[in-house]
Amino acid sequence: MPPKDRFVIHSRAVVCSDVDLKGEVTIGSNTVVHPKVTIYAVAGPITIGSGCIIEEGVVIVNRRKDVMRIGEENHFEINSRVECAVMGNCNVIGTRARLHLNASLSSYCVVQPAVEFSPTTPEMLPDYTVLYGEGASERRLWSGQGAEQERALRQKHAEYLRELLPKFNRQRKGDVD
Amino acid sequence: MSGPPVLYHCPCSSLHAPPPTLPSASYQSHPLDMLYFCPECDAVRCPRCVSVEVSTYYCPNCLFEVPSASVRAEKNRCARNCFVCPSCENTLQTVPMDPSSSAAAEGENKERFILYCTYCRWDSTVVGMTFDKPQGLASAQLQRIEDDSPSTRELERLRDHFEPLIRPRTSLHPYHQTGTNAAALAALRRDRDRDRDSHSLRSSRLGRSVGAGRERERAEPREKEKWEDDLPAFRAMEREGEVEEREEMAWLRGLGEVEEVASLRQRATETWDGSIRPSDQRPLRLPLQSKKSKRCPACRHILIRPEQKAQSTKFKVKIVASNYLPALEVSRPEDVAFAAHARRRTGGTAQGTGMVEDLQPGRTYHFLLALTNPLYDPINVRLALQQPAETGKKPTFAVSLPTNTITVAAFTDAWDYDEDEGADEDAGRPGQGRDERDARGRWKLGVVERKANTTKVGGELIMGKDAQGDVKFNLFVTYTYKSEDPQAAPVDEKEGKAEPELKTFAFWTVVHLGMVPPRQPDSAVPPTV
Amino acid sequence: MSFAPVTTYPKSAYIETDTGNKVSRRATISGPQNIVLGGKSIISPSAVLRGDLRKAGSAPTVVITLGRYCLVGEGVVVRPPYKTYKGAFNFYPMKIGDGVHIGEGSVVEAAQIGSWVVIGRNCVIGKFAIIKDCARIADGTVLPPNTVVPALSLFAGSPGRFIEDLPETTQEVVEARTKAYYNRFQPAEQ
Repeated sequence: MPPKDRFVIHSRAVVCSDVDLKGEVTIGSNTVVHPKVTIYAVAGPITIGSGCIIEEGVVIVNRRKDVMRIGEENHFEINSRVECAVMGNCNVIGTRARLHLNASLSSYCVVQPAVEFSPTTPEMLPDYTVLYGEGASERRLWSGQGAEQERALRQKHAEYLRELLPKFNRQRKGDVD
Repeated sequence: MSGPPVLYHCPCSSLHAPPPTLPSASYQSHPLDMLYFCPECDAVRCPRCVSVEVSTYYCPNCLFEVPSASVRAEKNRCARNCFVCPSCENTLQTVPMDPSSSAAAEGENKERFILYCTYCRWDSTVVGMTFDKPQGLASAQLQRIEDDSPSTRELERLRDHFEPLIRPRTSLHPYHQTGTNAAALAALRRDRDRDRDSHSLRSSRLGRSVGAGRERERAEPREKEKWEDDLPAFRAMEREGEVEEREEMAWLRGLGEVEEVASLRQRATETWDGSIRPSDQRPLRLPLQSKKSKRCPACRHILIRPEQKAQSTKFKVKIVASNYLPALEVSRPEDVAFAAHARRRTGGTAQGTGMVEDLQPGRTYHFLLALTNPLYDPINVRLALQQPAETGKKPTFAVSLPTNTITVAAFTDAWDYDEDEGADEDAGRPGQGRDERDARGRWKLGVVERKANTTKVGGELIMGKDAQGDVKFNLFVTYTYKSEDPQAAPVDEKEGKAEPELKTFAFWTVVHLGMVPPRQPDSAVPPTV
Repeated sequence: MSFAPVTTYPKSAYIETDTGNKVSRRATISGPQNIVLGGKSIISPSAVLRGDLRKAGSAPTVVITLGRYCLVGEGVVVRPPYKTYKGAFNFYPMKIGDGVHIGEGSVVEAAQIGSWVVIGRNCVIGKFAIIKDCARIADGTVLPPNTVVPALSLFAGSPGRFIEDLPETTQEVVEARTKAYYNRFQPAEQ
C-alpha cells in the first residue's frame, strides 16, 4: 500500500506548481523549490528543513520505511538525485550528483557535480567531507574556511528566489498551512 | 551516417602508405582537417613533421599575453594571480577569508585573502598562506618562496655554469628546439652516428638550426674542443636534503593509509623538490601556454602563423591540406538507414557517435565514397587500390571501386549559399534523387550522384569467410587540375607558361569500412538489422 | 558532411520563429521575454532555459543570449550564474555565440560561451565559466565555477583540464557542421 499523499508546506516556503510530490512530504519555512522538481515519499515520509534551495530537475526519493530527514539550508543543485537516509545542515549536492540510499550526510558536506556516491553498506559522511573526482574517486575534509560566506550567500540566494520565482511561476500550497 | 573519417597519409615517415593493419600505420595517417600543405614542396605535411615555433605566450586562465622577454624570468608561469590547486589541479580563486577567522588571524578589522579551490575545496590556510591583498600574489608573495628554494638556487648555479656554452645561440623561445622538428631529429641522429660518444646536450643544441647543416659540420670540432677545455667541472651545492629524507622516512613509518601520501601525479606537477606529504603541497603558478607558428620541415615555408592576440582564432597564414586535396568520406548506405532509425528511436543530436554497423564474414556490402573538390576548378580523380602483393598478406576481403576517371565539379561560393538556404533537404536519403543502381537493378560501380562540388561513387566489399577485425584498405588517389595561378595551386613551378596547365597530385588514404565483431563462443550473434 | 542524414521531426512538435529558430513544444522556456535567440537555432525537447532568473529591478533585461546555428540538446539546462557582489545577491546574464552545440543532458551556468564551441553530452559547465571561440568540451566534463577555457583548446575530466590544442581548421569544420545540422533538420512531410 503506497502511503497517502499529505503535503505540509510552510507558508513562508516557495514551491512552484510544476513540482511533482507524492506521499507524506513536509517542506520547511523559507525553503525554495524550483519548477520540475520531483519529491517522492515512496515508503516513509520526507521532511525537508528550512532555508533549503532545491533547483530544477532535482529528484528526492525515500525508499526506506524511516523518515528521510533533511536538515536546514541544504542546497540541491540542478538535476541532482538524492535518496540518502539522513542529511544534516548546510550541505551542497552538486549538479547531476547522485546519493544512494546507503549514504548519509552530516553537515557542511559537499558532493561535487556529477559525483555518484553509492556505498555498499550504510555510511555516514563526517562533517566537512568533500566528494569529487571522476566517479567520487577522491575524498577529503575541507577546512571550513569560507563556510560563513557560503551560508550568507545561500540565505541571500533563497531570499532573492522567494521574491523572484512567484513573479514567473505559479505557486503551490500545502494541504494544511 | 558516415563512419570513421578517411585518413590521409603524410609522406614524412614513408613515401608509400604501409598496410593499414600494421600498428605503425596509425601514426602515419591523419584526418584531412589536421594536415597542412606546403606549396613550395608541393607536399602534404602533418602535425608530427612540421617544425613548430612559439609565436605568443599567454596564461590560459587570465588570458594575459606574456612578452617573450619576461617568460624566462617568470619561469614559464603566470606571474599574476593564477594558481593550480595542489590537490586536484583545478585553477584556484583568490577569496576573502571568513570574517571571523580574518579577525582572529590579525586581531584587527583588516580583510585577509586566501587561495581557494572551488572543486576539492583545498585552501591555502592548509599550508599556512594568507595574503594582505587579493592581487599580485604570484610576483609579490609566491615567487619569493620559489626563488629561495634550494633547487632554484641550484638551477641558477647550473645555468651560470653552462652560460658560456649556451650563449652563442641564445633563443628567446625555450621550446624552440624541443618542437617536433624532423630535420633537427635527423641532424641529431647524424651526429650520433658519426661520433658515438658525443654529448647529447651539444648535439641537440646543434640540431636546433635547420638548413645550416654544412657550416655546422665544419664548425663542430672546434666547438667540441672548447666545450671540453674551457668548462671546469661543476660541483653541486651542499646537499641539504638528508635531514629531510630522514624525517620523511619517519613520517612514512607512522603512516596508516596509502591515501595519506601525495599522489604521484600531484608530485610530478610540483615545480621543485616535491614533498610526499599532501599537507606540504603548495599552490603552483599556472604554466603558460603558447600559440604556435608552423613551418614546412623541408623548405621552412611558413604554413601557420596565428594572429598575435592570444584569444583570436584568426590566422595571418594558414595553408591547410583541406584547401588543396579533395575531401573523401565513406558511408555504407545500410548504415544510413540504420542510423536514421536509431536516431528516431533515441532522439540523438548532432554529436553523433559515428556508429557503424558491424560487418559479417562471407557477406557482400556496398559502400559510397564521396569526393568533394575544394578548388575553384573542376578536377579529374582516379582511384587505385593498393595491390595485395604490396601488403604482403593474403587479404580476407576484396574491394572494388570504379577505375575510370571521375570528374568532380569546381567549388563555388554559390554552393555555400545554397547550403545556407537549406536547398539540399533530400541529401542523405538513400535512393532519392540518386542513381545507385544500373538498368538491371544491380549496384553500380561508378558515379551514383553529382551534386555541387561533390561526386559520389559506389564501391563493393566482398567479405571472405575468415575475415576478422578492422576492414580497412589503402586507396591511392590521383587528381588532375588546371593550374592558372601558380601561387594558389600546388605545382612545381615552371616559368614562362601563361596558358593553363594540367597538374597532377597524388596521395594515399586509409579507408575504414567497419569491423567484424570478435566471434562469440557458441552463442548467438545478435542480428544486425 | 556529404553523408550526414536529414533529421526529421513532426512539424507540430516545434515552433518555428520568423528568424528560423526551432523551439520544441516540450522545452521549458521560463521568462521568454528575457531570452534572445539569434535565428536558426534549435531548442530540443525537455531543454530548460531559465530566462526568469533575472537581475534585480523592473527594467527590461536580457538573461540569456543565444547566437545563430546553435543547438540546445535534449534535457539541457541553461541557467544564468549568480553571486553576491558588494553584499547584494544577483543573477548575471549569459551570452552564447554562434554555432554552439550543447550535448544532451549538459547543464550550463557559464557567463560567456564564444562561437563555434562544442560542448559534449552530460557536461557540467560551472557558474561564471568562460569558454572562448572554437573550444571543445568532451563528454562528461565537469568545469568548476570560474573556469576559463582558452580558444581552440580541448578540455576534459573532472575537474575539466586542458587536454590538447585543436587543429587550426576547427572554425571551418564546426561552422560547416552546425550549418549543415540546421539545414538538415527538417519537418517531416505529413
